[in-house]
Amino acid sequence: MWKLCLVLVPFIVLQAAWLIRRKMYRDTAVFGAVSLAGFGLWASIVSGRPIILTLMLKRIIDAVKSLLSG
Amino acid sequence: MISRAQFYLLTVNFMLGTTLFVTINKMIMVGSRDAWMIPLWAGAYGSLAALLWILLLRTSPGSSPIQIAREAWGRPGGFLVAVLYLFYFCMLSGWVLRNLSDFMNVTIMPETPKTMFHVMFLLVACYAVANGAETVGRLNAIVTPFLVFPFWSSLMLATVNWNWERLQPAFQDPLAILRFHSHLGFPFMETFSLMMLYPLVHSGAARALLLGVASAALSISLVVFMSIGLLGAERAARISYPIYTIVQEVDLGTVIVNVHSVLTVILIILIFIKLLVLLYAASETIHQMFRPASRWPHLLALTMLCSAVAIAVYENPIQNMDWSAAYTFVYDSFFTILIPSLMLATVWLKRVFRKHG
Repeated sequence: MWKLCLVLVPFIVLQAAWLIRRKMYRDTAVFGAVSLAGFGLWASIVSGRPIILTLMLKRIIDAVKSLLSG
Repeated sequence: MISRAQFYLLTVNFMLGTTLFVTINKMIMVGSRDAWMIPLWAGAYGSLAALLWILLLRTSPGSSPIQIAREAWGRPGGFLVAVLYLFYFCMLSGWVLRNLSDFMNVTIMPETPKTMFHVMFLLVACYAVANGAETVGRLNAIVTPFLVFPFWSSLMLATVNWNWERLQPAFQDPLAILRFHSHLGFPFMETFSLMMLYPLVHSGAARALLLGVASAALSISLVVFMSIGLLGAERAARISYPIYTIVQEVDLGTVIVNVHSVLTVILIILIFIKLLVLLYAASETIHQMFRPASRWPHLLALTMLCSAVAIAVYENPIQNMDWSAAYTFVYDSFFTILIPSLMLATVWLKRVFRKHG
């Protein structure tokens, strides 16, 4: 986990700081949202409990199907 | 702006991208000797879906589906659609990357970590996407001749092993498509990603799109036909990558021994083109919704996200097969049929109310 933080955290923080310094606040927000989503997913993978996206979607689709079928 | 020919080539290469080596064996498993008909049925369905998207985009010429959603449903609705499509494009990018790394690990580079393939491909794709749609279109147009001729030539070289009896008895199960509906989703409904490039085509984009879908369906059908004729339905269904095996068995004496390496390069480039389109669509979605002033920071953030999605998209190929068989059609239909249909209905209703009220 610390290796992941060592690689990604400086990159995210430095990039966000550069955008803030240039007064690109909207860009910072978009960059932050997308990169933090990526970081979260990476953190789940590295910690050994990955969020398997197709399994998650499967559950959502099954739930919707059972709701619609009554 | 990109030309009609460039858009046509993008459509064909996007659809052939991962299809040629991910679904061929599954298709033959379901359809056996008549499996070559599956892409033709699916192509007809893909053309109908493409007509729906064309209708939608014609309601507001020059706008992408994201912009049309904002026009139809206002800012909150448009934002929701943009986030959904961003998720859809990132998921597809992750899938494409994972298919690539699975293929590379199985065939040539078993020791290389998957993430290395993902990040390397993403960074190069980001560079092309940052240069705009023209670069994507031109790059594809330049490489296409180098893909088409070697691909069909290497398959032709393998025809020494051809046996017509492997295709007989024919027409026993022409409606096998009804049992292989995932092929409608992958790759035919995924073509919706090209709608982000559609407004940038000079003129005649609709014809190029429909012709592209038809050409890709015919090409896939021909490849399946050749796989059955060269390997036999039973063997082709059991091999993970039938085309690779076909070309691997080509024997040209002692001088040319690794013809299959040509095929590997072709497949890598085809996947790269598909990734380019998907990354462009994701980047453009962000651009149209949030109007950021810079491009590179978001592309780097997308690299981080897509490389994680590629690892987390599925656990193993078996689980991916289960997903494809049961959920691909529903999943793709939601993004490419349901949302566009609702958008189209809203736009038409708004026009009717405006006319009469």
